[in-house]
Amino acid sequence: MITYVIAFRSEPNIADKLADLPIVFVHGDLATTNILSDDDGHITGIVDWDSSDFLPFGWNLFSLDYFLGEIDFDGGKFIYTEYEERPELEMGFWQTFWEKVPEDMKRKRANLESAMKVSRGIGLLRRSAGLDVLRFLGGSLQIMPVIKAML
Amino acid sequence: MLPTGEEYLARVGISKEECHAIAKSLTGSTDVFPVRFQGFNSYTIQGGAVVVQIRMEPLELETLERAMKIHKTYVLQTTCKQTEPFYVYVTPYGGRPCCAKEFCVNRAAQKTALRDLAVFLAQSCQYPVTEMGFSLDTIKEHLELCLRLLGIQDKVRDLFDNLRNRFQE
Repeated sequence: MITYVIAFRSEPNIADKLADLPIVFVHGDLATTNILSDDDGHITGIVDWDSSDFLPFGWNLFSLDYFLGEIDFDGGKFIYTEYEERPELEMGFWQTFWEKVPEDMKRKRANLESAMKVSRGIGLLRRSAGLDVLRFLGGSLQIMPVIKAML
Repeated sequence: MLPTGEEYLARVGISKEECHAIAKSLTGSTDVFPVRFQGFNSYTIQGGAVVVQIRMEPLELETLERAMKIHKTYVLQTTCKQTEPFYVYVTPYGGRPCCAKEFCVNRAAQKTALRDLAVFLAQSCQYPVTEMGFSLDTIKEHLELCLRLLGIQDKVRDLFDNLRNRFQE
């Protein structure tokens, strides 16, 4: 979970890489509570589009982590546990993603992968440290040290 | 922790009974119940294969239409049924949320959902635009707040500058 956020400090050409990202329509709250599926896992609907807007691709990629692990709230702390199958699950996701994007994105894949790590990090920060989320967490800042450690 | 919907109803002064009566009338079902995961700004009830949402503020239907153009079947058709004294919207029942425990233990279903999620995210890349919806100042203000809370603002100040250069050209 930490590798994409590390891009903040390890990537020397962030601006150039971000410039490659397409500005797209981004669902602003792509949590698993807003993703509906049938019993087989086929996504049947995505709800709560209120906070959607045009942003650099990747701001809502934090959603991927919800599918690759489990978040528990225990003793006043959020604990994220990755599934053992995470590598396989994640590989399936990216394989499909890169098959489906436009050809010009496929050609710039290496650059875009770096940029997406940055964008995903920004999205995570925005979601995890935003005021709305703090209200949601009842003012708990327990997640902050985790993000801080990642940076 | 998670909203139950009842605190929203109390906040806006709408009775649960009134909401359920509306839901029964719109869904044609006598068995209506609040959905498990409620939002902060609405109260949502299911009856049969129909979902009814009650809220004081209108939904941005323009946003939904835009989402439908890009994501087609992933966006549920939403219809406004009432605007006074509060808004009432109906959508078809879309399935259960992917955060449900029974979903989390089914790896095959998760694999399928992840592939669909990949398709969904790739769809947005088919419709790129040239301008962001937020102003850069809004983004900057928000991120600065996040970073102030984290105490790492110096480490990414360059990123803000780079963002400004990139999006204000």
